[in-house]
Amino acid sequence: MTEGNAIEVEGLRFDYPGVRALDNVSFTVACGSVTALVGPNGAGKTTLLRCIAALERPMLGAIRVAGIDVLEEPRACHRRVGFLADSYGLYDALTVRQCLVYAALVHGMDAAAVPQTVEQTAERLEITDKLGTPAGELSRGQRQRVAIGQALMHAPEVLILDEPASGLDPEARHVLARLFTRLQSEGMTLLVSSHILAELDEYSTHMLVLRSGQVIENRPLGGTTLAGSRVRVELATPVVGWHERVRECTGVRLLEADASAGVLLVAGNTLAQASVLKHLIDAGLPVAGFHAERENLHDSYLRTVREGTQP
Amino acid sequence: MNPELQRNVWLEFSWHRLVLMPCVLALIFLCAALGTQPDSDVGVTTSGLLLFTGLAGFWGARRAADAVTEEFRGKTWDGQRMSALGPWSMTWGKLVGSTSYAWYGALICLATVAVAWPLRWEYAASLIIACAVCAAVCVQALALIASLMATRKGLVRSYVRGTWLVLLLLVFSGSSTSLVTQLAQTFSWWGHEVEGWRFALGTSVVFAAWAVFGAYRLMCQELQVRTTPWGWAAFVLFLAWYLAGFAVQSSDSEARTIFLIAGLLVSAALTYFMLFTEQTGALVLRRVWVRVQRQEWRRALEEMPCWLVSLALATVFCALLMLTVSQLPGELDDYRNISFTPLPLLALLFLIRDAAIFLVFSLARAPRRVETTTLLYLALLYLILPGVCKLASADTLGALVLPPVFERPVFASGVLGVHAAIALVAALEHRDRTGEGQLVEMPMIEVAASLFRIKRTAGSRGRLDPTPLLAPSAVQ
Repeated sequence: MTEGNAIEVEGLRFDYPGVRALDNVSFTVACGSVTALVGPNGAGKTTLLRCIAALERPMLGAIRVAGIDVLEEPRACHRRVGFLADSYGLYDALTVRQCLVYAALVHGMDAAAVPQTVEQTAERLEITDKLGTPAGELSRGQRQRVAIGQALMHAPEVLILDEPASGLDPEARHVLARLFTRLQSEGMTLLVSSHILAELDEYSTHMLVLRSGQVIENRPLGGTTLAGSRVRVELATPVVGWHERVRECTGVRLLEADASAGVLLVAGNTLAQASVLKHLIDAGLPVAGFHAERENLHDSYLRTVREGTQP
Repeated sequence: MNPELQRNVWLEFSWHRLVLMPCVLALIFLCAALGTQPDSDVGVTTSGLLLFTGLAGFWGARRAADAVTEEFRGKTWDGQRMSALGPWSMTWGKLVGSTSYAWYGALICLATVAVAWPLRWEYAASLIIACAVCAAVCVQALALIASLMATRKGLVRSYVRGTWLVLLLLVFSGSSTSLVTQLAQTFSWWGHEVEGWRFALGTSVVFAAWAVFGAYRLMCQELQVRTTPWGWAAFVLFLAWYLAGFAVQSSDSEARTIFLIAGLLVSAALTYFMLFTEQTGALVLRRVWVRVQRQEWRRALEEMPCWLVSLALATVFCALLMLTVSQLPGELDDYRNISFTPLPLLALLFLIRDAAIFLVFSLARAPRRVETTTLLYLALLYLILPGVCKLASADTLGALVLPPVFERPVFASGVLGVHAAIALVAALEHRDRTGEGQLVEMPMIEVAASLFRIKRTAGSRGRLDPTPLLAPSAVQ
């Protein structure tokens, strides 16, 4: 196991009758990252997450989570991982407090420490006022938070969430995003699958794209990619052919441009960006905006999937 | 406290329910007492035992089955599987917890029975109560097993539960009636005279323990605890040993033969049973095969389905029988004049054929209704085709479908296919070695003769003819 990887998957294969759901899937997830697992329906996302959570046994391959060989010690993995399935359930007849107490006790928590942990978790999830309410009477967003609370009860090192935001209203989604960011800042590694890319965009640091049971992309998101940084240039007044001046710089590729704006791919660090800016200003262009652009997950995903479909 | 038990108690008990049960039971007992003779306490005891059966047996079994099915339906099962709770805590937490309210009522009934029991039967009272408790535990554990297996097959619809409940009801009523009829008798078991009462108690304790053990092992698998199927193999052996005991009259040398026969029959029966109830299909077999190919023997065993384990045991029993027994023991005089040796092989071949039929249907790309389709084909092979042949007086043809094994000439035809297959392999091997073709003739009479020779030369019991049984003598 390489230091700094929370999840390592190698050569994973999973078969359903007549369908190979996962085919030679290998990737790593860095500690403390929030990885968005995206892909079309039927790509094998849920199967992959269930394998990592040691709920399904793959046909072939190796999985290590938090340093544990999942296939050798599935039970040890259960103790280190929190998992929320896409269709999860709560004990509707129990109150939220009972649900959380039960989750704490089945995870082997010391009974004396339970009430305090329950209060803390409830506070963190903003459901303190609902502790006495039966779980069956909660709204969807509240149920979601209670379910996440149950998965968080044993302070897992890795939290795996399958479609956590489906069916939530914008406000509930926002609360969720805030929670994920907070969990990440506390050092937890999150692996989140979702269809709603805009919402993943708020908190993901990495993107893992799965299509037809194969990983087609696994990379960090944000300004810096392997090829360089995306930089958006805006001009105060339109200048026809301004982008010809860009080509004079080394290590810069023009991604898109019209008369008044454009997107460049600048190799290297921020110093390289500064020198490009200097070059443009020296060339007399009315540069009004020049900023590294965090790539939209939606665009990035569509581009990856489109590239993947091309032979 | 076991958290699973605690959760179930939260769900099962409320003040209302706590008060309701004794009140309702008290009223029923009052009715029973008023409805019988003033001095008799039989009415109360009988109704107490009946209520116990209803509460602990049926309702308890239903609750135990729901313990997993409800989790599965409520989609909380994955959460439970991910918990740090061990398989044993989970098993007993569910068994005791989900049935706790049923037991609450059932124990009130038993207490009433114990108090109201006519004094002259005092000894019987403790035995009956102990038997009843064990039988109830057994049925509840079986219900938990059934629901775990159904969940694994993805069957959580209500009719499945209904089917299992009917099955359990049969098991429960069957076992209780057979127990009651045996109670007063003494009989021979492994050559020992045993008292019916004690035996019934021992049996119910042991089978309750096996049922709980089975539920525990299944729970292990559900919780992804790595297990090899030694528990199942041990159960097959135990059941063979237990059943063989009834056939052994006195502990003599025939006991071993009877054990081997019982072993073959039990493992064959359990192979069928597991084939139809276990999760079976291409993937299960491929998982085993992948492990075998990679020489990960322990993992291969972990992935091995129970029907395959029983089939392997059946093969072992078959081999032992063929090697050590040439004639049936004295009890079965009617069959003295036939050779016993090929019979186990025949039984095994039929078993393998039926398993193959099942697998063919389950290997389909999208297997559907595998069990019923297989049952239909088995009925065709075992009942309909032989029936048609018999009615059409085509005995030889019928014998090819289902050999009436205890008629000598026809018996040969059952082995004919095996001879033909081996002869063909021998001929192919000969061609590969020498480049020459072979004429393979397979006259039925020759096969029959080869069997006769075993019979003629084997002579005394227990000795094996040196001529290999399956060597075809007609390869030119």
